[in-house]
Amino acid sequence: MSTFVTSYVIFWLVVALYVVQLGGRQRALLERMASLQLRLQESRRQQFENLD
Amino acid sequence: MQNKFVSILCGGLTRAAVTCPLIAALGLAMVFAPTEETMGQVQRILYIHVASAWLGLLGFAVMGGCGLAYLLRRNLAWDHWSRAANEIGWLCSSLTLLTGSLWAHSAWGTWWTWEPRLTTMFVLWALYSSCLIVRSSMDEPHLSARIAGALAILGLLDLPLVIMATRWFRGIHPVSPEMEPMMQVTLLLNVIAFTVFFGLLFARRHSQLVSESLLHQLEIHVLADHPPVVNEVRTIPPLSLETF
Repeated sequence: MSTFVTSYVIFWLVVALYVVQLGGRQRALLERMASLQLRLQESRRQQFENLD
Repeated sequence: MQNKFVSILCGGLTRAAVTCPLIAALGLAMVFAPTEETMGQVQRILYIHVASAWLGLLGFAVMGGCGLAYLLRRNLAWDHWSRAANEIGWLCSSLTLLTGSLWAHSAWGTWWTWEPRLTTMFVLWALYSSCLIVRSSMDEPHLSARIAGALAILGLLDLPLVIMATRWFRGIHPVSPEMEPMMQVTLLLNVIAFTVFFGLLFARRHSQLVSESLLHQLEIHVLADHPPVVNEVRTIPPLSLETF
């Protein structure tokens, strides 16, 4: 009984770890996107300022 | 407003389509499936072991196929699919070896033995690991895609050996054991539920890889002081944390 339960617990623990890691990557990606968006907006603003 | 509603509805439906079969499969495997007479409760490991083994093999076939497509077309889009299959397949084959080892300890009295099925599966896992190492250790995407693609195609030769190992070579791994109908239904449901669940993870990882690649290109443009038009940012596929 214990071996069977241990197997299931380890199995789902490993899968959960992967899902959490995937979520972390997703968050990092969104942060990078937001940072790039800000950088692009700043760059655009500077371009318009230079035109003026 | 309507788009948001459709997005929430699709997210909910996807979650339900993945979660419901998983819960049903888990319930059947852990509680409702009959207990095997000889091995007892330990036999229930088979449901997750076979399902993850199937996905480990399927993942390698996808990785090899996409690796071949990359080598023929030299298009990194194929490498993104191959890379996603690499990660999910590695996870599934690791879980196969782990659950198999726990089962073997109860059934054979040893954690590991170099019998044909186990050895060929270990070779597959080693090939998965090699591809992961190659991908993570090289910055040049085309170079890592070429090497990983070649390794994956080489690894495809191991697939029939893993599948047929119990028939072609003499070993101690069980060959399609006799099962009661309820056990067969449980096994089938587990295989389907796991395929849907890991298929979703595969799709999410692929979407991340595509976005990472696009972001990387955009960042290079911005750093080089040649900002692209803002519309380019909008071409990145929408991502949401809600899925997790």
